[in-house]
Amino acid sequence: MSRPARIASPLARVWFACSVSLVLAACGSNTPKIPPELLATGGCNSPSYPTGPFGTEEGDTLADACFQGFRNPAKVSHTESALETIAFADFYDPTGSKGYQLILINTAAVWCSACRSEHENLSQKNRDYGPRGLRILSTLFQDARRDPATLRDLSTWVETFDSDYAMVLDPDYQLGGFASAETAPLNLVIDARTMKIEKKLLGDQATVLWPFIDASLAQP
Amino acid sequence: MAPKLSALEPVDVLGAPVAFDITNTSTLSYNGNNRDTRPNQVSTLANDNWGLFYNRFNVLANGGAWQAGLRLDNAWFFDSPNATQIALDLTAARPPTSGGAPAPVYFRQKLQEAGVELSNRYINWMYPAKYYFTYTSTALEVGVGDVYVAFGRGLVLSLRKLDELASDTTLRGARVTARVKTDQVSLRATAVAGSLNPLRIDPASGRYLGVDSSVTPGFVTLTEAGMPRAVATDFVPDTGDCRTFATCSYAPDRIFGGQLELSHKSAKFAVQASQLLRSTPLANDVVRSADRISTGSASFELADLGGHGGAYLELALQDLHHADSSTPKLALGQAAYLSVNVLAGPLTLLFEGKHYRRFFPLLANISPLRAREFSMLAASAPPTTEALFVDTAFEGFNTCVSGGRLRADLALSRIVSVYSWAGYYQSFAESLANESCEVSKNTRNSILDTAVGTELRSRDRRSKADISVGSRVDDSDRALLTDHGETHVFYREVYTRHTVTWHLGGPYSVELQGWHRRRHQTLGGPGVAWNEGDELIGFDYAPHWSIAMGFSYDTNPAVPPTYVNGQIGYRISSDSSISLFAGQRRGALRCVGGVCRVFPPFEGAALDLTLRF
Repeated sequence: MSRPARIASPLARVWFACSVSLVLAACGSNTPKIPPELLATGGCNSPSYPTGPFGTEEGDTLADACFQGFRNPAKVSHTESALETIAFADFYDPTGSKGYQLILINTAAVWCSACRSEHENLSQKNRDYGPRGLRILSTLFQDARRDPATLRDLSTWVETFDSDYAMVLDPDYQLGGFASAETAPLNLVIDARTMKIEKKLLGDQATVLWPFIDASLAQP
Repeated sequence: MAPKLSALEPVDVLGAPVAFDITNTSTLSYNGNNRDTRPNQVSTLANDNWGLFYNRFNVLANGGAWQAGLRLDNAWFFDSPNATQIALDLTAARPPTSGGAPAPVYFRQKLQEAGVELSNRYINWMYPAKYYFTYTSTALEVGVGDVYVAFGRGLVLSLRKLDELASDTTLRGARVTARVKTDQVSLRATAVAGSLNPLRIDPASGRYLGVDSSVTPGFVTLTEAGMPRAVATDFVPDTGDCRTFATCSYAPDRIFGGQLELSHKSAKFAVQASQLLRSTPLANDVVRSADRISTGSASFELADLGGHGGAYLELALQDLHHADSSTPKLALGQAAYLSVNVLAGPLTLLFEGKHYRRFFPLLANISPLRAREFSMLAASAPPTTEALFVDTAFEGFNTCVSGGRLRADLALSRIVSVYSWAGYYQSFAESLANESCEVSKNTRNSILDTAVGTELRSRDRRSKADISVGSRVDDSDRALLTDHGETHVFYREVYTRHTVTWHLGGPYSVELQGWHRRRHQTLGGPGVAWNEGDELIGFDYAPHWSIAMGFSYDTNPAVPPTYVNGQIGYRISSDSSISLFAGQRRGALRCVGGVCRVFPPFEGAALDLTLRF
């Protein structure tokens, strides 16, 4: 059965005209100018680190990055004087001379509940898998208010979770290219011999992450 | 002045009258600075200063036994943020902190990050969001194109439209339903097959879901014809493989399902099953990395217990298969859902119980890395048994849980009734990840959810009020580590909700809606208890005009403290309207019956126009 229908043509015409005007007004480009001082090259590059191209997906090579933090928070005071520069390059082990096989790079934020529950067990995992060639590097990037993490946040974090793996500050959120902050935690499993990303996981995915690490470490 | 209107008459097609029903809904919006900017965080600048014209054109042809329909969606972004400007702004506002990279390195990182972030946002598209043809007779119903499916209570398959969440997910393929009826018994068989078809553009964030040819093989090439594609940009090269192509955020799942339903009087027995197949998992979580998910259930319903209520029971099993051998095989997932309602004079009781073990929603094959706004999209919706508005079932709460809720409604008179409910649950996947559903004290959270309220109606039923207060107490058996020591408190909340409509006489009425909450969340919260709430007051001048003012507050230090907005609407006819919203709207997780969606904060103006021709 037909239903009575209506048409509101004058109103529709006004609406269409307004819309077209807005779309046309939006045409054009305004690319901002980049100050020369921001175009300088350099950064955190170890001469022995793999060359690019680098990427952020599984199979890509991880670009080097440098942070300030504690290489083993269980063995140092949690003060500014104990901070040291820690780079991904420190974990690069192409020949196996350092005994590193896999690197787990993890992001954490004070506001992130999954990060906190994940770190409850991370020290135990470090003790279980460390002797088999796993190195863990966790980056703390935001505080409870989602502002950049500070040394105080880092100190509180490592004391709360008794962290005994490398724990660094990432106030710039340098790993933002891998995943947006809202989706923390991010876990990257890296082959220490090539610095290639083997696995990329969002969230606390213990059921997937640890069997994968276990299986990878079992390979020669 | 009201526009001049004219009628659209039925058209003769092959000798039969065909009625056309055309509706067009347009939204013109501009989102300014929504005040969520955080230092060093690209995504919080990438959601400012963008404008959208979003149009949904619907046409329905009704030829009696058959119907055909098309929904054409069109998004034009007339303003959008610039990646270079975002990187410059972040560099300029960068706070002095230890451990930072040199400025040029920082700038390059943020430029690349912003470029990737914008590569699948604010891109103009026009695409056939839905199209379908259906034929209906007494014994047979055939649907081709986009079809909705709901088997049982949503444990096996649930594809439906949720206007509250602007969600509309269908199966693009076919559905056939055959019915046989005798004097005593009726039999209904339904079969569905197709690929999952969610709406591809999220008007709240400007993000779209893109596919590429690597995830649209065979039949899916047909169902994905004309749909938004992943695009290469200066920041995102086309790798030819959706897994590594950073704007490829969606790989349509193929779904097959069937249901057989036998009815006798008020009793109904049904079996239903679905199989979800995915070829290229775009995420590594335990559900999205499964290449095959098989779910089946049997349900029994007694719609009438001698005039004193009804009962429904559904038992389901679920199997996740992973092609990747490093992902451990999970034991068979199980779910039991029971609903009993009892009518005893003025008293109505409703009990809903559930027992789920490793029972997951059929999460769609979305890349949460590339399109986080769509990360909760699913093809099933296991019942929560909780109040519709509950948004505090955290993490994997509903995948490993036992418990239930009893609600009692008592009509004290024709104008006054009171109600109350109490729910008790034990969840083993809320305070930590527990996909294998290990049931132990170490994983257990105990949740008590209670509420009491009253409904008041005027004798003419034109004025009414619904006012309630409630609480939620959620404790973890495991001691939770916090910056201030250990605690077993996982979550606490007390709240009050109200909806009041007061008819002032004649065409005038006032409406008041509000929800005020005192919350404390040990993990993931701001570290202290906080208050938040929304209050909306509306004035209605029937039948055409409505005006509303809204105020929200939030003492969570991570977000702005206050939000103010106003809205004015004009109803042109029962099906056509225009409204203007201006002001600020709080970002929030909104849930309807366990289906949730994150809405980002909004600050700007939006003009909506719906016209039915």
